[in-house]
Amino acid sequence: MQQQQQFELVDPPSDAISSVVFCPTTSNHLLVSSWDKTVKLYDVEENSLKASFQHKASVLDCCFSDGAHVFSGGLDHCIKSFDINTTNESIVGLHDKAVKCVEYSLEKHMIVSGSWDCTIRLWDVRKKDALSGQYEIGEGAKVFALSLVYYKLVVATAGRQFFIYDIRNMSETIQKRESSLKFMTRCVKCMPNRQGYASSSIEGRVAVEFFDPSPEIQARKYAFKCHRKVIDGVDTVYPVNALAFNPTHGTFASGGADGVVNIWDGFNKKRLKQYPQYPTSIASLDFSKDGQYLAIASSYTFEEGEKDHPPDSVFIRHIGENECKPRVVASSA
Amino acid sequence: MERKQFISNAQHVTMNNKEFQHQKNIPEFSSFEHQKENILPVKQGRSAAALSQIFSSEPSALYTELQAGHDKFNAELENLDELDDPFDVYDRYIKWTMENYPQASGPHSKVCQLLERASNSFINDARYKNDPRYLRCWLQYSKHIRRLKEHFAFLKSNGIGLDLATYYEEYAELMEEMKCFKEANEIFETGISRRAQPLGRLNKRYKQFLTRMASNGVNFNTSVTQLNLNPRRTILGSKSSASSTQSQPMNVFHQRNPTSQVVSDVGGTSVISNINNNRGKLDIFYDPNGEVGNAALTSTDSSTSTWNNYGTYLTRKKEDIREAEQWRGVTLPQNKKVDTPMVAKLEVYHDKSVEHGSTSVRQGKEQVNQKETTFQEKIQKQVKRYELGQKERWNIKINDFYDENDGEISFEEKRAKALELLEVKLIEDKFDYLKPQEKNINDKKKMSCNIENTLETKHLVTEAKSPVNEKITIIQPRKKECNDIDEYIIPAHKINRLSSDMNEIVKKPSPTICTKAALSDIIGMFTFTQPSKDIPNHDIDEENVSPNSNVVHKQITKSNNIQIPSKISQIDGREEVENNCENKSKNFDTITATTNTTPSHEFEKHVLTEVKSFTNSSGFGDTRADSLSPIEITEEDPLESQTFPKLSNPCNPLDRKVIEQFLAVIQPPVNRYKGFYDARSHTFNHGLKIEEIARSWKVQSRRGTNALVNDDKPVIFFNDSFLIRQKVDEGGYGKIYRVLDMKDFVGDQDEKKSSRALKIETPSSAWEFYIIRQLQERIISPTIDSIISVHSLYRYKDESYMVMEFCHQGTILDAINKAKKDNSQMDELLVFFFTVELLKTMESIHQAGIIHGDIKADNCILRLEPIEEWESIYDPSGTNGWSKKGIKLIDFGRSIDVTLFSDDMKFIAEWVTDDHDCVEMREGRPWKWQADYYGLAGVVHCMLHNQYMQITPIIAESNNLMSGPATMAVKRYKPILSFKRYWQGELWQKLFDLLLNPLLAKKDGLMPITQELKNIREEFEQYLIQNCEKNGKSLKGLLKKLEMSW
Repeated sequence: MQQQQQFELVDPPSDAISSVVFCPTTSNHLLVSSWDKTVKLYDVEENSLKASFQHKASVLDCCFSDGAHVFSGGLDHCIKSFDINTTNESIVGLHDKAVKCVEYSLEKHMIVSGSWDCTIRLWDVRKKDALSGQYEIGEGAKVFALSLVYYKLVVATAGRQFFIYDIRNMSETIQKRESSLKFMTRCVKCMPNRQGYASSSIEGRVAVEFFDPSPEIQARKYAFKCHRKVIDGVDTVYPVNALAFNPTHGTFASGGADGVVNIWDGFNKKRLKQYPQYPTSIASLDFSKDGQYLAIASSYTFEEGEKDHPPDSVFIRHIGENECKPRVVASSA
Repeated sequence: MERKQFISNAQHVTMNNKEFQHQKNIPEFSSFEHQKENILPVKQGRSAAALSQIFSSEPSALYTELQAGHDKFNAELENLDELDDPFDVYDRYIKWTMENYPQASGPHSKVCQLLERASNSFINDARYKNDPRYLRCWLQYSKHIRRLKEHFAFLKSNGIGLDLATYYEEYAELMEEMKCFKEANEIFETGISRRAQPLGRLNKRYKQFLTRMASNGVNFNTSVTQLNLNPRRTILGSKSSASSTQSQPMNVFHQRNPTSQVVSDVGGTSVISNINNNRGKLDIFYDPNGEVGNAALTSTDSSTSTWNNYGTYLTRKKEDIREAEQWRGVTLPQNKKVDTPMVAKLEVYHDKSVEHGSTSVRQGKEQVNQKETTFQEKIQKQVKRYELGQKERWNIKINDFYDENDGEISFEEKRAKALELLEVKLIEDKFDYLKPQEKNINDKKKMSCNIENTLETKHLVTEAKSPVNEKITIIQPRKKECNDIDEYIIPAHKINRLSSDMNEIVKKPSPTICTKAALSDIIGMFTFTQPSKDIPNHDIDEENVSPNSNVVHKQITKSNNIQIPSKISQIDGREEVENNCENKSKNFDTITATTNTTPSHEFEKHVLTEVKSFTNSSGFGDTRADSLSPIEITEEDPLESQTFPKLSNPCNPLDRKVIEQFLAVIQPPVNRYKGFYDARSHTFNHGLKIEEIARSWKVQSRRGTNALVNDDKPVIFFNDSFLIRQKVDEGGYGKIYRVLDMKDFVGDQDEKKSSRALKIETPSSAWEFYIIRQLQERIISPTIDSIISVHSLYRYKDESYMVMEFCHQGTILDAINKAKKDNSQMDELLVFFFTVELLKTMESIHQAGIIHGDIKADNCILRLEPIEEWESIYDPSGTNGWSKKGIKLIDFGRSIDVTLFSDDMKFIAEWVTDDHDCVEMREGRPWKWQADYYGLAGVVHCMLHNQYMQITPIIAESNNLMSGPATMAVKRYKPILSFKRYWQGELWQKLFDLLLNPLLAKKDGLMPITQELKNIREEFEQYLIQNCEKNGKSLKGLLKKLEMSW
């Protein structure tokens, strides 16, 4: 098998890609959800499509619970579960509006879903009535992004608000923060070391923040500009649509509507790498569990409304050993 | 009325005497002595009884009493208008308040406020112009706020008290204190000439005054205004020359109002002439004769402005209160440390209309313009919208992403709106899902491909202009092709409505959907992996398994040491996998999608397992380079694959089947853990052999010979070999031996380093291994040292061998037995220490979601490691060597991982219970965390009393939490044995009460009660810190002694 550094997945979805997620157990399984109403499972090592599941409307997010079970949600307001082995599918539950984000908590064995109906719902598929809890975040707080690490849940909503919960006690927020970024949040991802999270906005900026509310730790938070192009002396600002943390090194990648993927060392505040430009906006990013692969969804994200664009595809990049390693000897954040 | 005053005083005094004579209980001074400084002295004296009562009663009770009093008076005050003598109410109220608030002092006290109120209420009331009570009220008030002089002036201008001697007496007294003797004299004279009552007294006072004056050498006969007996500077006056004694006052008043008549009356052009010389300096207002401010001795007629309202203290203190200002772009102090990116400065939104509005309000409402009202109506909540900096521009159309109210719209929402997919619920008729999915799988796959095709040809995104039409065209052809499928098609009649009432569709779902029960039924049908569905798949799988069984069952082995029969066959990865795929795909034509050509489109479980096996992820912390643990791919039972077992609530958590199911389901799977050696398909059957060897060692030691045992062959598991030594323990589960790890074993040297504990369990189980590994993963704090660590688990079909670290020191039970033998007990200080350790450990494991399930004295090994620098003073945080001393918890075979169950799950014991089991277990009631609390209590009890714990319910306990028949159910328990006199009974009692009655600890009966236990632990720690080196006992010493005995 050819070991190219980067290749494109065969048989990609036929419409925009909303999310790419690697399997937490098997590092070469990749789940791709798309606006073409499908959720597709690929084997990146073989570069082949392994399975495809159907929704009734565009799928906005997907996740694995274990190697064989997959959950996804989208514009049809439901969260569906698919069993890869048996190809059984079922509806786990419904929201009142489209489901924007779906995550799985290994510790609680529950699905966490966020929707444009401003609620977070927890689902426990082990129970007959899967809905374990439904939590109103606030008025007008449509969920735009969420991220889970251990028991911490960070929810980014409309109105530039962030809500931090402990999923063991969802009835109250641990913290409520206003975004450090002045513009609409696009993505939020928690650091694998559970210290904090990174968030990105439509204004070509990424903020790195920490959970610990003590002033010394809060003083460490920062934001930086990225994904901007100077055209005719003017800075063109692109939305940063995707973030992903490298599980091995704790460095993170950001993907913008400029079609560029950057790797950053959050601790030392340096850029480690920039990959050559992709055909169109980056919609989603994910690292595989062993840090070997980076899946890059190059798919137009509608930031300029209707327009012609290159076909949507998923690129898989082999990550070299030192590619995402923090530069300085000091351990990464 | 004055007489009343005296009489009441006298009465008060006589009352006191009477009280003194008749009362049996004379209030003790000591009851309020501690507050004596707080009691404001009153001329008339205070009732000792009242004081004593106030200061000795409970503050809360006192408060309620006082509150009641206040309420009573307030009620009376409401009827003030009806009464003939309204002031009487105030008078009594004031008296009562003074009695009950002895420390009343200062302008903010209750007394003063009341006085203020009372005084201000009756200024213009003719009835009280010369009422001595009223006057007294004023005088008291003025004393509190220390404005006597002004008050007198005020009273004069309002004609209050001018016929009462008191007025003049008090005023004169004030003047005398201020050394304005002439004033005082004048006052007396005025009073006498007015014939103020009681005149006699006034005269007497005047005479006394005169006597005093005479003795001081003050002469009132001259009529010259002698303000200054000694030449001194006027207030802030300037001397015209260094030697002059005369000083000229600086008169701001003059300068500002040169035409003011009042000033010009003052004699002395010299005053005026000086002004011109001193233009530069700030002039100070000086009122030489007090004409301007103080109209005390001039007539009360209209020349002075009416001074009707004295105002309250607060209004006079207006400088202290800042008026509310317009919030006009105030810069707030910022913490400069935080690094914020530079953005264009945000302009504060000025509500301009309010500025106009406020002035207009003053002028009267007629002035309010229409424009202003509409402006005010438009004031909505201010939404922040930032702007990009200069030289920055968007590549997006930023305004597209905000709605009318400046709410944000994400890209996805925008796109969905464009596709008009936002409002339409495509799952219109959920009833469709009731049809079994099985037979539709084929069709569905066809469907999905067809949909994909049609979508490809008609890209919805590009033609958002007429999306409705698009939909109709797409859907109709679908309907033609696949008639038997209902699910994906929106019925035609509903499509027509798409363009119009979109909301309507949402609001009118068919009845079957509405009920939660219906929905749960539907979901229920699909969340179970039902055997009936699996069997067809299973059968198909079976067909293919046999020819490929070689491929399926493999072992990746590294060396030949393994004594387990194995087929060593190299796996040539890709080829075989593809072979399988191709083979299978041929058989599965019906299911494979027609449009796709890749062979492995159909996903087979076996393919998955193949794939799994090639990813060398060996779980915990192993990198690829590390030695591979032999992974045996066993065929998982499809009926139990990958789903959590459905359990009733409550359930038996130690049911073997349940445990096996959990182990099969958890991710990452146990067999990927480092140190897990899976050999479940083979039997080992070495138990007996090991037993023999151990026995011969025992015999050997008894004989006392040093020769090695004859049959000292090592037992070999996979790659590791161990030499067997002695049996350490035995139980229902199996046996534990001390063994030597040959990796660390070096000849005849001290065996400490190489010793391991080998636990042989039959039947074979990986549960304990899982639990201990999970604890190691979940617990970050140093308490992890208090839990035994496990090296590896060799799991065979019949037996499992777990290799753990070996601890040489005995258990707590051993320590207790030792003490028992010596006819003594473990020192209480040591018990405190171990209790704290146990509590800390239990806290940690509970927080990690694990219940130990079998906490007892023989499951707690002593952990007293040697350390050079060890402070004598106990340190709960573990510094100074204290972290090396403690306990180690072992035997997690009966542990429960709470996170695997749903939050509300409770457990029941299906084994025969005895005194070692907690109350709930014995009574057959469900339990959860209590098991550990009870166990811990048992250990502590053992340490204290050298006996196993037995408990008894406390009789006659009124349980506030529940009522009715339930009160019988939840009793309060305590240990039968009581604590020795010289122990810290209180602390122990608290601990046992909490451990034995955890449900009663919190109001809502919630568990775990980790916080409450933490609080007690901290109390215990404090006790240890204070007593670890006291009275000749030393904790460090005791621990050392214990350490030495092993």
